[in-house]
Amino acid sequence: MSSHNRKYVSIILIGLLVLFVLFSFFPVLIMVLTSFKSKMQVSMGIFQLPDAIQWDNYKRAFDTVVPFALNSIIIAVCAVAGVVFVAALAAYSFARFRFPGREILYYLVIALMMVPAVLLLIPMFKLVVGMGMLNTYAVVILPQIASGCIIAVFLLRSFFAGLPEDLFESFRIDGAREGRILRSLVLPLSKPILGTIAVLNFHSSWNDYIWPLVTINDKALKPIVTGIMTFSNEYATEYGPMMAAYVLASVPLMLVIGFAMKYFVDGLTSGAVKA
Amino acid sequence: MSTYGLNLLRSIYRNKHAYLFLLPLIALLGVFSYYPIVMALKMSFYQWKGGNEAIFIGLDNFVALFKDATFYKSLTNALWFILFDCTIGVLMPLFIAELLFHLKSARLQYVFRTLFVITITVPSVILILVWVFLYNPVVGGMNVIVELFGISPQLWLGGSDTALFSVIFSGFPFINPIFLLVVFAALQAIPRSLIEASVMEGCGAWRRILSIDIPMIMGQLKLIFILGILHGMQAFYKPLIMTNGGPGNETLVPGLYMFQSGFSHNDFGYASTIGFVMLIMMLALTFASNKLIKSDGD
Repeated sequence: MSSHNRKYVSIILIGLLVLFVLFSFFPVLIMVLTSFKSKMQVSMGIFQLPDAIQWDNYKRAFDTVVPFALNSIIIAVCAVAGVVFVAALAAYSFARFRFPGREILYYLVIALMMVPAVLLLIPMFKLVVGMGMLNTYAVVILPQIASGCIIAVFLLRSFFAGLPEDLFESFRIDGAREGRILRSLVLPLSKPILGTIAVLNFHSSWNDYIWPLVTINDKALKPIVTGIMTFSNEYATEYGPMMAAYVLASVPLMLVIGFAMKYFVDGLTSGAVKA
Repeated sequence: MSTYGLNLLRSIYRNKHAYLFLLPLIALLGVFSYYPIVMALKMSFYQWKGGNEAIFIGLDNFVALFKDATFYKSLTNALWFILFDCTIGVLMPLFIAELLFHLKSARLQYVFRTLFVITITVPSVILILVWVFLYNPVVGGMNVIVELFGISPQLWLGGSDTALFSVIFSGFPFINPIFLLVVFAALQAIPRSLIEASVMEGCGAWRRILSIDIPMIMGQLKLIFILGILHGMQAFYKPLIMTNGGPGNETLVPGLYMFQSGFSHNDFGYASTIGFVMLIMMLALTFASNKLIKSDGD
């Protein structure tokens, strides 16, 4: 291929990629654009640029969004901490001990990957009603920890199993107990994979919709994605403040994934998701 | 007691830490996974409405379900979702990954890959709500856009001819960032020597994609295909938020039908039966595609 031709090829490649990036961002751009518009400007069509930026939309949205966002942050942080704690203990046990029942227990955990979430919805709802857990943070956090642990145990077990045995020996010779080995040897070495698990679970916690929808109807406890629905009902056709609220609702997740992008991408590409 | 039993007990005692460490996981999964699974399967055989005691009714729920026209309607709709997830949903990430892979500059690869991944930071529910706004026949932009192509204004989510397509199309441009990452990583893992050899043989880009790239990443494509089936079969938050199954039952899917049977009609037995049948169908489809699509991973 001549260099002339090659240049053409890369221009076409880049052009196509730019086009598809724009397609992907299209709804996001419209959301941001509309969030700056007055009611009058919204009625003039989505491609109309706002002539005067309506910061007031954001002021109105802010007070509504913040309490919901705090709920989401509390839920997501607890879920992430829970997954890391429970999965790390279990994975360490599966990876470094030879105990009776190990294989069976491990497969009982991993087999849950095959079970569709939709199947569990109704019986889990009846269960938490029976336990009197409706309208608590725990009703959302605990199932998120349970479902998050399944893949986390799978990822952590293979990582822990790959750590060299010599390291463990040197700790054991010093008389360290299992709890201390886990805390001061295994966990510090596993920071990257723990980072991946944390950011993936933060993302899925923030996006959890159906379960909080049916288990939390106390407005003071609602996470953002179900809380935002009450907002859209209240503001009916005031699309400016509504879109401003949508933008604000996306900010915390953007910040977390923005800072942890490396963990996010590494986790998904380094064989974490394999056929 | 036999020596075997004694050894077993000794081994269990020696590994007491192992069991202790597993306890939180086993407790959580027992309550929030295994118990609901057992209940879901069991309650399919019960009449269980509202706050009433559940009554065993054998296969009555299943018989009713197989005669239920609404259920068949929801399955037909789900078929469209599955069809989209398994074709466009696989081809688009592959297409974009190939574009990225053929870029000469590693820096540009990184920039574009990051841009595609950033879209994942907008919560999916918010994205759906923005699409609801776009489909608004009066202030939303869809009617302006289609007018450019000479199409008359539509009701979109409100029109019985357009609703299903509108819900599916809200996935545009159908580039799932996670699938893109997986396919792109698989392409990068193809041995360089293989690609260099193909260039030496005078193999063009198309030929290479068809004869080297696709066979080499068949495992990942198969994974996305199967995930597409599972997602298409059970996902229902899009119809729930955008149309609640309407107008009529035009956008009803099995998951949403189950949700409505349980939470709107308080018929938990029937809802469990729908879940049971969905599970069987998902297992059957996964098994079939596993058999039909060959990959090196097998």
